[in-house]
Amino acid sequence: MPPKPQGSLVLSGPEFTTRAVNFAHLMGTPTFQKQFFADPSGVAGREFGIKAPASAASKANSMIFALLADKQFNTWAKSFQTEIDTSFAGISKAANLSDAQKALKSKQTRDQLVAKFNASVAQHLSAETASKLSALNKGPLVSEGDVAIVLLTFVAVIVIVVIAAGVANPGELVSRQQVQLVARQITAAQAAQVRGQQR
Amino acid sequence: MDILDPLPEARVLSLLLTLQCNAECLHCGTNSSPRVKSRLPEATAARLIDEAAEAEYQVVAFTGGEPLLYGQSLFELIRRAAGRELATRVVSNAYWARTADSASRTVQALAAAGLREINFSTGDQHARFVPMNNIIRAARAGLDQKLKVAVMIETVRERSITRETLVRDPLFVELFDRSEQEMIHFCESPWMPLDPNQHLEYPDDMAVTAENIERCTGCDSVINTTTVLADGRVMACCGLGTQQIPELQLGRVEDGNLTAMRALAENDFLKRWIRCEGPERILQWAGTKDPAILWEGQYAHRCQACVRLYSDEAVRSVIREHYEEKILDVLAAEWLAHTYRPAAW
Repeated sequence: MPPKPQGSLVLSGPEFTTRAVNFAHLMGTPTFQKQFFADPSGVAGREFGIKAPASAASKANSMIFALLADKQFNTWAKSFQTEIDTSFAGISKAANLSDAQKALKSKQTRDQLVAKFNASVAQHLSAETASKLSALNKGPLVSEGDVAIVLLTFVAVIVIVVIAAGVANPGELVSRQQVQLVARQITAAQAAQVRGQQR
Repeated sequence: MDILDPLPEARVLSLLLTLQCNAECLHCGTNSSPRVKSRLPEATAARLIDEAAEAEYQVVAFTGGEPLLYGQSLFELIRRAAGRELATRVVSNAYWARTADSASRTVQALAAAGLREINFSTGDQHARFVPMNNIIRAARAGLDQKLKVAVMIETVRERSITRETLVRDPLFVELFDRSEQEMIHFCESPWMPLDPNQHLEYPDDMAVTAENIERCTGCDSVINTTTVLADGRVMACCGLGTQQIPELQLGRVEDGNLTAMRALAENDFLKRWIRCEGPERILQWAGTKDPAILWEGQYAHRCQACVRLYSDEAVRSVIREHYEEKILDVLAAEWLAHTYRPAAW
C-alpha cells in the first residue's frame, strides 16, 4: 500500500508563472528558438537557473521544431495538403477529426486517399520505401526502418491512418498533438540519424 | 483544416446536473446512485453557460448521474446553450428508451432544444439496470434526428457486452444498415475502480507498460474541461475519480467565474504537464527517479493512473523534488503545439 499523500500538490508558485512568462517572451525571438531547441538543458541552466538533465528534454520538441522549420518538409506537406483539398473536399472542410472521419466513411474514399498519399510519397522517396508504405494499414510509422519516411511523411500518415482507422477521439483535431505523439516514439539513435540527414 | 495548423484549444464546460442515477454501477466514476439527490440549481447552471459563452468555450456537456432525471430544466439549459452558439452534448444511460416511441419522443425533444450530440453509456455494469436494447433504440432515435451518436462500452477482460455483441444483436441488425452502423462512434473504454490500488483484468495490451506507453498522448481533458458537480464543486477536468483528488478541485461555483477557475488550473504547472504528457508518462518518469514506484501493467484507464499520481506520496515526493527539470520541456511543447508557425508560412 503506497504511503498516504501529504500536503497539496499544486505547483503554482510565482516562480513558475515568472518563468513561463519569461520563456514565452524569449521564444518570440528566432535566435533564441534555435538556441533553445539545439541545447535545451544548457539554456535551462543559463537563462533560468534550472538544472535539467539532457534526458529531461523531449526529443519530440526538437524534432517538431526542426521539421516545421524545414523548407523541404513544409513544401511537401503543403503540396500534399493541396492535393487533399482538391481531391477530398470533405476532409479539407472538416472542422475537426470527427467530421473528417465522416468524410472518410467510404472504403473507396479511404483507398483513394491512401493511393494519393502513396503517389505523393513516391515522388520523394525510393520505390522500396513507397512499397512499404502501401502495405500500411494502421498505427504510427515508427516501426518502419527508414526514419526518413517518418520525417517526410508522418503528418500525412497520421491524417490517413488515424482518421481512416478511427483510432483517435472524436473532436480531437489532427494536428501537432498527433505529430508529437509520433515524434515522441523516435529513439535517440533515430533522432541522431535524422539530424545527420537534415544537414 | 490544414495539416500543420497550430493546435486550437477546445474548451468544454461539463455540467453534472445531478448525481442521482437510476443505475448503481460498481466502480461508478462519479459515485452516482439512486440515493444521491444532489442537484445543481438551474439558475446556477444557466449562469455558467452564459459565462462559458463569454469565455469562448465551444461545448457544454450535460452529464451526471443521469441528466434526464433533471427533468424539463435540462431542455431549457440545452436551449440556452444552443442559443449562445455552444455545441451541446448529453451523456445518458438511455433508461428512457424503453420503447421505440419513448426513445423517439425524448430524442426529438432534445434535438428540438438544440442538442448536437448524444453519448450513451453501457456495458455489463450499466446493463444490470438498463437493458442494452434501450441503447440500440436510443441510438436509432439519435441518428433519426441527425445527432452525433456515440456509445461508450465498459471494457474489462471478462465481459459479455462488447461492440461486437452490440452490433450483432438482433434488434441492432434490424434497426441499422451497414452504413448507419458506421455513423455511430463506438468506444470500448476501460472500466476502472476509483481505488488506485485495486486492479481489474483487461484485454491484452490495454494496460499501459513500457512497451506500449508510446501510444499515450497528453490529457485533453485537464484544464480544457471545466466540470461543475451537482453539489457546486468546480473541477479542473472531466475525469473520473476527480472527487477524490483535492488538487483537481478548483473551488465552488460561488467562489468565482469560469475564467477565474480556469486560470487557477492554468497556473498549476503539474496540470499543464499532465495536459502535455498525460499521467502515464509522468508515472514512468517518476519510476526512473524512484525504482520503487511500480506502474507497468496496472493502469488501463488513464484517470486511474492520474489518481495514483496524486494519491501516492512516493510519486508526489518525486514530483516535488524534480519537477523543475520538466518545466521548459512542457512550456516548449505547449509553444510548439499552440503557438508556433514558421515565419516562412
